[in-house]
Amino acid sequence: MHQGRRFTLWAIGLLIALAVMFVIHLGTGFSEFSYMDLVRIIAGYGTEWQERIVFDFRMVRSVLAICIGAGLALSGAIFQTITRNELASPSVLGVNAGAGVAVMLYIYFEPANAITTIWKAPLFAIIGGGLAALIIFRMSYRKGRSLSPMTLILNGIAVSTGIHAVQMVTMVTLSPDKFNQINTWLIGTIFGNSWNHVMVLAPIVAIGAIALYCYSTKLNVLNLNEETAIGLGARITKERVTFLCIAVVVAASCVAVGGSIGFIGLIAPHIARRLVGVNHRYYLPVTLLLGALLLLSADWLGQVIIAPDEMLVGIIVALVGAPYFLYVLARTRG
Amino acid sequence: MVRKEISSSYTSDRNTSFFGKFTGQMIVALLILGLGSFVFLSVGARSISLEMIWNSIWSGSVNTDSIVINTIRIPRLLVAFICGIHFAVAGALMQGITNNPMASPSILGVNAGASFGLAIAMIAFPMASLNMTILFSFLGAGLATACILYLANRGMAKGSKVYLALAGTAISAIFMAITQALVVFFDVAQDMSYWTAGGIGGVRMEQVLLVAPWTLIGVLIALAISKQITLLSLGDEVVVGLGGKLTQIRLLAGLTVLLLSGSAVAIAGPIGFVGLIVPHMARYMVGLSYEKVIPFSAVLGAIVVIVADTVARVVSPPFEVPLGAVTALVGVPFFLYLANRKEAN
Repeated sequence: MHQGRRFTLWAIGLLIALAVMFVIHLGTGFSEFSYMDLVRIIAGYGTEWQERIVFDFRMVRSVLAICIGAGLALSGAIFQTITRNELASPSVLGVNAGAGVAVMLYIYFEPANAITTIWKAPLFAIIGGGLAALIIFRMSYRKGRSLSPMTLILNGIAVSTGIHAVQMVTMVTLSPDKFNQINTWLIGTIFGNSWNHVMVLAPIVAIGAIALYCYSTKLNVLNLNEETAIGLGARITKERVTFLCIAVVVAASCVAVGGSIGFIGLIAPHIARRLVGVNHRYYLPVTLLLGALLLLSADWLGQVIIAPDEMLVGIIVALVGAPYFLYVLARTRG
Repeated sequence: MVRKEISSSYTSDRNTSFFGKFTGQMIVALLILGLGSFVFLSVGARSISLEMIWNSIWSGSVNTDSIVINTIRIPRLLVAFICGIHFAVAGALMQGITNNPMASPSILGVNAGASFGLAIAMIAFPMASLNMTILFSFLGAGLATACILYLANRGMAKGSKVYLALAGTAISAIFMAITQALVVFFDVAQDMSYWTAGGIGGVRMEQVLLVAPWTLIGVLIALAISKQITLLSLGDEVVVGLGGKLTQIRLLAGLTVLLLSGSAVAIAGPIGFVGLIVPHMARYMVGLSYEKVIPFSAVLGAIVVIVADTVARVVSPPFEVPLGAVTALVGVPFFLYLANRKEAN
């Protein structure tokens, strides 16, 4: 009961923070609006130009930041649960790199076409990210032994490095336009997307979140040590693979839209566990909210820190995330 | 007394049975290096015959080919030598002093630190001379090394070799993120991207001459302390038992690593994995004594880099693939092998 009350408090607090951040994010940008103007425009009394700025440029960006942050955090939480490893996250397990190279190959072989791109890029990202994650898991798996946390992460980082090298080799042959497009996307940016992207990404994240929430009891069991989980009737391998698939699909779709934003999937679940404990019924919603809040704040920071220029959000996230990774690493026992 | 006996028996045993062999191996390696250099000089956007190369080096005749050779390819070849030697010797030293097969300048974050220093130099002193940027590169590398040594000396690192490698990649990520942010912030991305990709095209002779003294100093120090490195590589217990001076040697070796990788990064960018693979190859061929491993690594490192750079130039003409990408393609599978061996955990 105590845990439940803590959860309610944190959830409400985070929701309020998210709402506040959403408004601040909407109010930030190249042209200045007062908050009164903002309310007026949202209510439908603005000029056409103002509405265009607020709805088609800014709100898309805010909503996408929320979706991507939530999705990455959620899949990070699942990765951390099924590997029972605090260091796991989509980016260190190669999903970002795999999705990246798949999308790059797609851009490489197909001329950009607005209508097909929106659906196809996530599809390629899912295939690439899934393959990379599979390779890394298979490589770290030893029959009859539990996954070694450190080796898993190290393999993930190494395979990602290899994939990046392959990517570099291909990228130099691209035209400067495509090169810039891919390079910006690789570092991670939420700018320049449309409502169509939201229409693709939001359902995937929402369905993933609902599905995982329904299975939170099973996730709780998986989080125990293997013997106990088997004793409680969990079919570990099958369940792990199922959850892994969901996590990869969600993460890869986020990467396809937002680029390679690392570390959100590491930080958000970690903080959430500190706040509400490991019961997935509480843990997953808080992770989701935290991820959304973190990415939205990072994106806002990227916009204001060197205004009128813009810092790519991937850099901001890495600046916060890499030290945090080191901090978690220092606390983990090998 | 005891120390003398053991160390002399160790080396003399090696010397009697391997000395002749080692000299032979060294000669073969140098021959391969010489051959590789000629291939390196002849291959490229303009293919030049070996005879032409020979003539343009030794006779003073001036034509298009000899200009290409003397102003573009030879400096590039020398830089390839320097990078190979620097990264390989630095890697050998690091693997020796940490007693960890996964240690190397790129994996433990030293290269990323050097790039960070370089970025600072470019931002703060855009007109600075190469020596000045090298100095900043040293400082950056030093910062990263201090971080990694701090982590290495915490209890956890001694239990797991993988831990140190992970901490190194994390430090690397931090420095790269800061570098990227600074570069974007101060709008020097164009100048910087050349370095971060790790390429040695477009190097001029003056730059080579500025870095060459560092090569000499670094390699000489490494050779001078190679015997002690051998002891350190046997593990702390052995060294303490033999009465060796752990801290001083570690410090000196650490400074040499800074010198070598800092200057190499300043001229060529963070070329990864050379420092990881080459010492392993060297140990496999000449045994565990660092008196042999260090000079052999230097030669092997030069060979590896000229081969990689030749591949980088010929693989998809007219484009040049970044040298760092080529070394990574070879280095990653090797690194995976090291990380997944049984004894790694």
